[in-house]
Amino acid sequence: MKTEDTSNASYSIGELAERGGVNRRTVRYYVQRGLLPAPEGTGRGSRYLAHHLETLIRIRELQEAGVPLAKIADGLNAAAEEKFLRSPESVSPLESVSPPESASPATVTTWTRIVLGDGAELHLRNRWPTKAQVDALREAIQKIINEGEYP
Amino acid sequence: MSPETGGLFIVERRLPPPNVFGEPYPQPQRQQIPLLGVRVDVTLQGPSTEVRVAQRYRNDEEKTIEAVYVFPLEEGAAICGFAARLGDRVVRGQVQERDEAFETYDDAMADGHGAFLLDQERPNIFTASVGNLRPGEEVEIEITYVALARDEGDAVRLTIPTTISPRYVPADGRVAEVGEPDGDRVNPEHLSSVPYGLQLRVEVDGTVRSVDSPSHPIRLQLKEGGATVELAREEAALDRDFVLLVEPMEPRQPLVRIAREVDGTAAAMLSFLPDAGDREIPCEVVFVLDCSGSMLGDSIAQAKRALLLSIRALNEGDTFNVIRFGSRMDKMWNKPRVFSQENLDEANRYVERISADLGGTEILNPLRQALTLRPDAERQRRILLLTDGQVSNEAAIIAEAESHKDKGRIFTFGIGAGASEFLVRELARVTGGAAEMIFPGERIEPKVLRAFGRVHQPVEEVEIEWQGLDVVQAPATTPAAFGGDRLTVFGRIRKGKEGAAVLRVGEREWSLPVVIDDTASEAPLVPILWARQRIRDLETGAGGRRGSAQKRDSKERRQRQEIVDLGYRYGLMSSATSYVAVEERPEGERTGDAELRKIPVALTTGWGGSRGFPQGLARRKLRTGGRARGTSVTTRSMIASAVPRAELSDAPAFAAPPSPAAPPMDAMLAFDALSLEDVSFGGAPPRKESTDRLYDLLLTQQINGSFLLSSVLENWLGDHADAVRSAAKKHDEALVVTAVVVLLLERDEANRADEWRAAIRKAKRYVEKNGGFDASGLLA
Repeated sequence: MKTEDTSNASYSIGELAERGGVNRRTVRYYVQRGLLPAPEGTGRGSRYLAHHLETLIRIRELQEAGVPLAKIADGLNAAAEEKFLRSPESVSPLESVSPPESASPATVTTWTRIVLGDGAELHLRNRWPTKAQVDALREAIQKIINEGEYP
Repeated sequence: MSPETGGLFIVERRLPPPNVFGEPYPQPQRQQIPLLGVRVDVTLQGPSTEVRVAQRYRNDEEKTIEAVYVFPLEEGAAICGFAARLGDRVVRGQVQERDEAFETYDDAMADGHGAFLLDQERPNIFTASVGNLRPGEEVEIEITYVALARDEGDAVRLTIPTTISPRYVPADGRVAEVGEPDGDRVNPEHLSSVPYGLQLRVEVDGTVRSVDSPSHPIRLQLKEGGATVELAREEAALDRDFVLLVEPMEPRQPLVRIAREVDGTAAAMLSFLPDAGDREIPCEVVFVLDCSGSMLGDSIAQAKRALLLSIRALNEGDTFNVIRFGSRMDKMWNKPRVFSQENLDEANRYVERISADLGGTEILNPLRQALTLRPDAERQRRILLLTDGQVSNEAAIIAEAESHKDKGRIFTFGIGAGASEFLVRELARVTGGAAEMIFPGERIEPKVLRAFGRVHQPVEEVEIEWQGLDVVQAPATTPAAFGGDRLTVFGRIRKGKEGAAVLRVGEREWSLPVVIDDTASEAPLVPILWARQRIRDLETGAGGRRGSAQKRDSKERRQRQEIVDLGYRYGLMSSATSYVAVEERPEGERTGDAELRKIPVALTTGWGGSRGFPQGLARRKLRTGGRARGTSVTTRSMIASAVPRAELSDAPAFAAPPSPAAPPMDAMLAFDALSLEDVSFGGAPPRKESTDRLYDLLLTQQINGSFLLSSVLENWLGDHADAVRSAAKKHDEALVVTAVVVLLLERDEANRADEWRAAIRKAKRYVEKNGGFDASGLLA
């Protein structure tokens, strides 16, 4: 999956941010939050490697798709764990985060919760109904549930 | 992906906020908090305030740290100075474009220098980052700003916000964001109390008639031509806004201030004082009441009170309805109904039953609904919104309201000890309405009366013509004019030396002379306030300011560029500019990687029922706390201040869940998705704890102005009750009782006349119309 020339590349934080399509503040934030591993070395000389860039882009794409960061963290960890179990010695967990297209459906599961009325909600896995659908659902349910609640 | 997600939530396993169950927020025992205290110095001078905020940090750890503090400032603040004091060294900050400033900061951090950064998250929420603070090192961050003083009746209202309440993050606010989620940036970790406190001093320039703080016990020193106000206690908790009302001796006047920039360009500040027209029009008033979890406790009780008083302030001929909202909404009636005795009684019963049990704060839908109702041909629409404004999607809400501004004016009541003034004031401003802030314990009646004076004024064309001058006015759109309210605009004068500014409201007009002579000083105040207003215009126009640079369209990019240019030119903070300062350290003193320390903030007092419980359990206990009075203090409505938080845990707790092991941040975040709604107080009887007989009595007034016998009145009358009862039986009950109430209030509540004057005027009219009655014998 990785090509030779990028696997040995290393980037400053500015270069990494530019290649990853984010600003430096975002890179720092991901590192602080533990989503992105810390760079190699400290201070101005610290370098980010190809796997950092790969993970950074993955996080950005998932975030742009509306996946909350906590889910992304779970996904990254789960993916890492899975790979780690398969070949315990050979891969460090941080390098093994799979790119988005190969993400196993079990690692990122998004539940959508729709509040249909007072005390009524619907949970859907990996489905995003349209606003019109939700409104229709809500209206129907509310009519039944709220009947007679107030004059 | 990223579908339309109105009303959708992404589910995550989260814990409910502990306070919902009466569990105290985590105490800060084991945590090192590098912030030692905050000191605020205010100079109140005529129409403006100048404020210096000093945050003192010290690193008591063994490692180098980076301290990050999210804190509020007044929403109108024009931040024009940032510096770091290290012993006797001062490092001054400079304004840079936001991303650039971060890079300067980050580079300095990486090189081991001392680095200091100030970012704006909202016009009223900021983040200070204090980088590479070495073990044992102490630094003071100094922020200076100027702001326009706000009138409230005859007084000036000064607000110093101190804490940020947990903000509700709507589901659709979380889609398609890169980097730190916007909602997280304004939701710092909350503790029930924090070890750092507030010191405060206000210098008032000019003779004062009265000074009053609804929020804190204060100490007042009068002196020649001014006054000094300090907190009665040396240090106060940062868990409620500081509010000060200063009534100057001088009556209010229209104002003109002219000043020059360094390059000679003049700027003017004009403050008109239009008087009220006498035309009142019939209105359709839709009351929109925030019943989200954050309103629980003090706030909802106060909001209900304001709502009941507001409904009574309607005129015959008005129609009205009540919408309450949280995650969902609920309408009192399907359609607005006329203001009649029957409908008033029904509304009273409806409002009495209300509690803050509707979960999250989805303001957008109810506002949209209220605004897009079918218009009433005979009445202009007014929305009256009562909220604490604790949401993170202010920009979207304001944009929505503005897009419907032709359909109705929004008047707002900002409720609570830490209401978001930005949302509350901006919603009113963009729709041509007006805002009133209600601090816990403040008298509501005068605010309601002022608000309804404005509500009933017709919408008229408002414009300002600058005669003989070429001017860039800010705000570009002249705000709505209300009789008795100051209307202030700024102008940067590009050409012309002598002219006038004419304010036209409908058929009426007021004129102020604008003369730029050589004596105009180089004071930065007026130009800075002009630039801040101009930036605000651009920020509001820019709509959603988030997202990556590539996604902004060219118009937005131009607007942002103008904000950046203004920021550089006037040294001003904004959404697009930050302040950064670097303390260059010599080679040997540089430090390695710093550990991040986020400063937790105190939970706003009364927030989400953290003081006043659903059934008032904790409240009684906490009120017993000592009320410190300063030596020469004159404040009236004091709230028991700085009550030891530990008492909270003594309060009878509801079935408390096992103490959450999750960090408090997670617990807090629960608020945005699942929690409050999942925790039900259903069935809890509405709190009936009003002990204010005046208020209770006024609520029994009929819409024709009359009063009938009631238990509150009979208790009040005591020994005279029998005489009044029998007289009421003999004559017309309404006539006798109304005449008695008039006398009673004039005799017993003369010092609160401004709260009952309007009601009693109606009552007197009723008595006169019905032949008059002398009740003095009954009360002898």
